[in-house]
Amino acid sequence: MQPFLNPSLWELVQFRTTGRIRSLLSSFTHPRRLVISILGAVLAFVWLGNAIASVLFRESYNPKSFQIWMTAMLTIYAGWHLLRVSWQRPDAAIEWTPAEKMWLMTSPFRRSELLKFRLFTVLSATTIKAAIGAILLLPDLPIPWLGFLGLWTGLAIIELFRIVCDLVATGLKPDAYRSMRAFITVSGAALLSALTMNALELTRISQSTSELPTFIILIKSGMHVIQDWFTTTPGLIVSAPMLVFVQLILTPTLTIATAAEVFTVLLMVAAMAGLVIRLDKWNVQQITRREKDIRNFNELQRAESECNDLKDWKLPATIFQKLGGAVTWRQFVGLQRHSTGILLALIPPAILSAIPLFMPQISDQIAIVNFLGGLTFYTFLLLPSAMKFDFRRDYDYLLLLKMLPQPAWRVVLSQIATPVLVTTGFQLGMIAIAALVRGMSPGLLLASILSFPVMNLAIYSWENLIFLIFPQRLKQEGIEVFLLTTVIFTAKGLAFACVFALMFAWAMVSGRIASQLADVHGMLGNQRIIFGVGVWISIALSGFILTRLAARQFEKLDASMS
Amino acid sequence: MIEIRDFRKVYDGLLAVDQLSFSVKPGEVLGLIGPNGAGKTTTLRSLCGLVVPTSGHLSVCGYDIEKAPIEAKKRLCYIPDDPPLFSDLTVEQHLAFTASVYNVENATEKAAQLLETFELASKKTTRASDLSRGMRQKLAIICGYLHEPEVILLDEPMTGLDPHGIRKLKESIRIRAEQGAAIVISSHLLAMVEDFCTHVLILKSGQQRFCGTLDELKDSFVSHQNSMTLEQIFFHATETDSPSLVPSLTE
Repeated sequence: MQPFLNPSLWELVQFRTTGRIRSLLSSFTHPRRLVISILGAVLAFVWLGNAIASVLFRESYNPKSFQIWMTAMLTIYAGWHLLRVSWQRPDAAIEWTPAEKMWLMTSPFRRSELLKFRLFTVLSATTIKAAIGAILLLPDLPIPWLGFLGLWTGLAIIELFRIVCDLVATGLKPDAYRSMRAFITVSGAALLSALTMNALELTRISQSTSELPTFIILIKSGMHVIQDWFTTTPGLIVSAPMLVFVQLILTPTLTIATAAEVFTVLLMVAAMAGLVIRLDKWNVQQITRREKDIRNFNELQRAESECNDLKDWKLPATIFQKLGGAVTWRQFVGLQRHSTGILLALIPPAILSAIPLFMPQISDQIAIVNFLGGLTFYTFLLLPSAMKFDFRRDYDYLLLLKMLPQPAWRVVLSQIATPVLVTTGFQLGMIAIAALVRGMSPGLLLASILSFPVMNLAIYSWENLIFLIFPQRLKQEGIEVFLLTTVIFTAKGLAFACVFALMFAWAMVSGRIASQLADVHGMLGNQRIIFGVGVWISIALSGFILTRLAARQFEKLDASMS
Repeated sequence: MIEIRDFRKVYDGLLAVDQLSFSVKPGEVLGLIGPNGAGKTTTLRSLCGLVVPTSGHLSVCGYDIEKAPIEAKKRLCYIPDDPPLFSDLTVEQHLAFTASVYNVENATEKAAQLLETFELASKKTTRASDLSRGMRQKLAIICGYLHEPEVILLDEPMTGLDPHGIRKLKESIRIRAEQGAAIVISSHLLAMVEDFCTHVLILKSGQQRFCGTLDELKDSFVSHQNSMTLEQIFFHATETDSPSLVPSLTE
């Protein structure tokens, strides 16, 4: 029987696995990394251990409801890949590292052998995901190993479906791709609109009988609407392929039918893998055919060897010359290239923070306060990871940045200017919408306009300070990165809690100060003004200190290590 | 050994290589020269199967790289400038993997000899990520040579090598050419090309400006100016806009 993987490629898998373990162990020899790794391991144990313990000792869900939700989640995950490729056409259908390209593509391997190698690595990662999922769902799995198998095959199908989507999207002709994009976008938008309308209607009805906050009712209604949709005929049709895996996950007893189910899901994975291999062939043929179809080569642009005339070249806008010069402009160009992704990243905080504005049952004042709180929270939580147009994407250029004839503080400010400005622009846009929809007092409007820029400066300085202390390449993976992420996550959580506690304390103190000043100085005795000014000064001071710390860390950084 | 006819490559509406034709016989060393962006790397990558040609015919040892890629790849090695390596693999693991892929007989002895020649024997257990730029280049060359390819494609092979490494590489190229390998070297080091290449191909903006032996190239310029160096010829060839430098030779 022929092995699934070519023996040489299997040998490569083994070499890489042992190599990664060896490099992980060697990383423990550096004192700073060792401290971080131990701290990360302890925190990971506390976080994960706590999560796993609370999951293991919870009561199992209602089997019927669990089945619907499991099917829905898998279907939504698969649907996300469809939306993703229709939103942005992938550059390549199957990703290969530069080393894989050079060593594997030029060696005498069949394309199908290389694809099996790629699928093997993809499905290996799926095994880890399925194992974690199976642990979290343990109370709901009648037969744990069968649950794991069902979860693994379900996730494997989705991973293979992702590759299928990428292959189709890159293989289609531009016209056909545009048609596919239009169809998926319109269908998706129609479905989402219908579900949102239903959720809002259900929220309105439930509000009269429930004492829960509107926001919670809205979330519950949304989940109820989604659950209901998956029991309708279109929902059942769309989610039918995923039902097979969920049924296997929930199989209560081992029978002959179970064996048939196992055989069916494995066959489905094998068939999907076969489809990937066939589609890859089609994809390569399509791309080559499109090139070969070019008839008039004389109309094509020719590769030019000469440099363009640069004598009139200058930074495209005066704003960049004044702001941070070429360093800021460079980050802005990077941001422009990823504008689609940035727009996508802005949608969740925009929707989540705007929800209170569109709830007619709550007063304007409460809606605005909720909106501003949400905007602060979601900006802090979601945007820094999406707006990495600062030091965090410059791991390979740190040496170059260190060589710039500019003081460190200026380099730091220039580097973080782009995310700070874009985030501020987004927030001001949202505030303008809020002011239009609900109206805002001039004082609150002014306070918001003044506070968000300094808060953004503090947030991005903090993110960059962490990066400069522990530099790592973007998209770097591995246990070491996981441990570091755990430490940073905990540190951020603590920082947020501290800020919250300090603000609460300041609110109390400002109240007392106000009452003491009220008798003597009139206007100065306004608690809101004292509170607002105090908060603003604190945030601005934090921003200033964090920027100075980041600058000092940048000065100390040994960029040759990267 | 290497046969390219009417090769053309288009990238997103950009004509990278246009109607390129040449051949390299066993024992010949072809120097592929041209300014940056002339199409040298695209040509080499198409020959080793990394880039699918838009049109034309490319064959290695009689095997079409599109129709019989496995047979063609078995007989060639491609070494890019700044070769990417598997960062977690050691030097000897790279060699073991290469030996396994090409079913190399007596791989251990051959590898030991090559490691000794290129002064990497002491780095056998070092991870690729810990190697210097020049050492990475040497490792890629050793792996390329391990299966004794009949066709050797080298893209800027001297980049990053120390003087010892350059000498060893030059010697190895001469020896392999004498043993019957067909070799293509893309390089900007014109003195090196002049030193040991038997043939020269000049490319500009994807178009072939000259292809022939060094003597033919120099002879063709005698009528214009007396005894020009390859450097002078190169600048003349790549700074003029005529479609072909020496029509009688390229046509």
